[in-house]
Amino acid sequence: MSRKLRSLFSRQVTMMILGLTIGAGILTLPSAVARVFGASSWIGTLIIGLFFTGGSYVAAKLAQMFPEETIVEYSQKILGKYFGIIFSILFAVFFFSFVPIETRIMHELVNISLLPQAPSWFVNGVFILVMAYAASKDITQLAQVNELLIEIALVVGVFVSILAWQHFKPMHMLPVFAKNQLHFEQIGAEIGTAFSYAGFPLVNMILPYIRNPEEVTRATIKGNLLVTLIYTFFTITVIGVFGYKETIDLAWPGLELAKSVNLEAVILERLDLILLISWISAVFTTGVLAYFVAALVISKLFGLRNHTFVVWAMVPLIYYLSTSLKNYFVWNQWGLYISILAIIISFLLIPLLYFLALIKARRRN
Amino acid sequence: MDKKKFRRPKPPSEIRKDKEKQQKEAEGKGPFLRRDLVTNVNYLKETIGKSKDVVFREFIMDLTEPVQIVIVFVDGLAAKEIINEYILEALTFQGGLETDWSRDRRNLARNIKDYVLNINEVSLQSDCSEIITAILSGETVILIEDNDLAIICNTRGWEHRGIQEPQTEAAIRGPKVGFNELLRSNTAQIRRWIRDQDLIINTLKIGVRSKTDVAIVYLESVAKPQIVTEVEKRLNKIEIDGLLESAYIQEYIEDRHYSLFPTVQTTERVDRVVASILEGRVAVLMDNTPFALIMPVTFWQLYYSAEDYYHRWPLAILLRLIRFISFFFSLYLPALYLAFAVHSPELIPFNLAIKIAGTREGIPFPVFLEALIMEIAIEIIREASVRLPGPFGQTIGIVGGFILGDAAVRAGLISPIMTIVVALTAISSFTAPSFGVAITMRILRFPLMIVAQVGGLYGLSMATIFFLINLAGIRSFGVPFLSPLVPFNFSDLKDSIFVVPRWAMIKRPLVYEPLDVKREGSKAKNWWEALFNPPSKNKKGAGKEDE
Repeated sequence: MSRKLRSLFSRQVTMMILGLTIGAGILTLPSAVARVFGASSWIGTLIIGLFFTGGSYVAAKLAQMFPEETIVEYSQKILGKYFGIIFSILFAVFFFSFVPIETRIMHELVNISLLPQAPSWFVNGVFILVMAYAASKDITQLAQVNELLIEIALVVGVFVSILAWQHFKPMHMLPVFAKNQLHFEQIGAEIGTAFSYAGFPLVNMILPYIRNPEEVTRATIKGNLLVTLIYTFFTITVIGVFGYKETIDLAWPGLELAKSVNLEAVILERLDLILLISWISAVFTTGVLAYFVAALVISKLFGLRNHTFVVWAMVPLIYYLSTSLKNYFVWNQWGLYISILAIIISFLLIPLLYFLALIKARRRN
Repeated sequence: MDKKKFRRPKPPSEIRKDKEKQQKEAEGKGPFLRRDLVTNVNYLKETIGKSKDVVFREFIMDLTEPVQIVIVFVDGLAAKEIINEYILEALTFQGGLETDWSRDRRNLARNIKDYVLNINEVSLQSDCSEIITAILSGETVILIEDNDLAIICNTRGWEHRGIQEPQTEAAIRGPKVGFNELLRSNTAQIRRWIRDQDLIINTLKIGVRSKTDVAIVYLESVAKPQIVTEVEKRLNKIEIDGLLESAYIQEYIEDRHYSLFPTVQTTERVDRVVASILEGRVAVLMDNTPFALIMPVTFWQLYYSAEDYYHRWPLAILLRLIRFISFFFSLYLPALYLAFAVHSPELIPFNLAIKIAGTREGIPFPVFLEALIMEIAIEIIREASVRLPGPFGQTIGIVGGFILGDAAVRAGLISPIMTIVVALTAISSFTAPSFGVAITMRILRFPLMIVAQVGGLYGLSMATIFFLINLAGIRSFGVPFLSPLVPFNFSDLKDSIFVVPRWAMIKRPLVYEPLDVKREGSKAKNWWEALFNPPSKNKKGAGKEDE
């Protein structure tokens, strides 16, 4: 890989992990967590986040062992050609499956609050086309778009959350870890949120484009810690405002949070609009980065020089899948599958690859 | 002339030179002067003598032997006083001079240049095409009998506009000088501001027929060499018959030919060009136009006014803030109004929504058509006021904006709130300091209105994301267009949405990767460090300012 291609700053890597990880999941995360952990959900969010941060450390270390290659190439070196290809396909499927679900949830939210009557071909079509347009660009440009959008999303999102603290009741946070509130039989719902955490395998694809590969572990961990912090903060806000019992029953706790804000001086009647616009950009960054990574993996598998063709070829498939996710239950089921895949990839396959790579490296010495 | 009793045989070196010339001509490198004066003059008469403004003045210089001389110049381009006093007078009043040099007939051209002419800029040339270009640029050519070298004297002098206040970029505070149409006067102005040995003014000629002088100006020890060579490379690539304005150059050297955003800055303010050169950027000046080009440029830079740096920093911050708000207004206000009014009226506060609905009662057009009519009307008024001469233009603005708008509202055709929206949009767009970017906003407003009509706020946010994707992809001579926001650069934030005091701007903008990063003065490492060490605190004269 030539020097010229190494264009990403480590700050941009952090931002890309934030952008890929924070997406559609954040609005539903608090209610899923509340089902299992009750009033002390924020501890649950924190712990899960830290788990995934640990996973990201392994992924970054693995990536650093092969600074000139992507996971498509070195998985074939470590696992052998066929298992490597199977792994890469799994990897591509994992990222690809993000895209239709993000599109579908986007459609739902747009229908709920912005354009009630908008047909799905319009909302999904526009979203997918803009995503494809962005994903067909090179990684430098994508990183810049992502940086800009995720910054807007975070600033606005945190701003609205802070405003919502006017309804914050400390009583809602108590008791901390009451046994009768823990419902581990609901863990299925918890697993379903795992895909809101697992964006970090991105590092294994973008390392050859990073300016200083030695800084990547720090950047990755920073990104995942930030994600954990933001989720925890958001969960605290939601649970604090609504209480855990109400949160469980809310379909979109984040939106309800924004609606609860009263600001007399603001020109808008409801603040959920502002939150929604910030959230659209967050969903967009998730979708576009996942799209890009999936297309990159596939184009590398086929030995294509450019991923543009793959991106545009995927458009009909994504459109078909996004419209086939008919309702809340279907996409929740889908989310569960992705989450299981996320857990398998980040806690089983990537550590396995790292372990095998370490053994191979030691044997060579 | 024909009475040549004795011709000295040609020395072998001259024979070799003649052969070389013949070879060059055979290769098609253009004809060269011969030793025969008549041939030379005839050649020039054939090529440029058909025009009556080219003057051939023949006379005899009275040296040891009389020498036939022809001077050629263009009437009106060359300064006649210089020709009369310093060429004709100097050459004719030699009165049978008897010196070593005057006997050496074959090297007379060089000797006259060395001994006789008292003109400051003189050169020798034998290439006919160069000679013709020189004549057509206003220089005077002296052709001498038996010499295959012509003397070119700089006698350029023609009528031109004086130095005036720049019309397009007005400023309350700041130097009131702009460029004029004379390249030399413009480069001289830059020199007067930067008396530095590293200031390079490199000239080249562009245009097959116009042969316009174009100057590349930069600080050698500051500007990134890759940027300079890139500019030179792109300029050399230009293939055009004539350059009329620097806009021609701009269109050729732009990074994105199909983008709406200009990636080259234009200005007619001298101070602006000087400030950019001091930042490590490259300026390109062209003869015959007061508009200089500055490159590379970032998106935000297009929104800075030269004045921002002359006011004290609190005011500068306020001005920038207002300018960015009005940038947002000029782009989004009509579209946002449409999106709210058509698709999401429930998001507007109740009282305001009632008011808007009340004013819209009885309006015969849908909101979109209403907005479109008003926007087009205001564009027409604006264009009309530009085309009309000075005072009439303002009258048209008042008549058009004030009376038409009022009448339209009274007639019940347009709602008053729409008039407010459109007027605010138009006024906001006037705050853009450079015309190039203001026009981008004017163009983009219309697609955005359509998007808002079709897709509401969702469409608007998708369109915005689409713009951002495009903006993030633009690079101006290798510099990311949206810097310092993305890629984020904390050091360059000192001069972006806000401005820190002059003495705290201790580094040049890093995005241009200058060779010499630090401006002189403060010992602090960064601007935020410098903020805690104002100049009055520093013992060793740190208040020295670079610009």
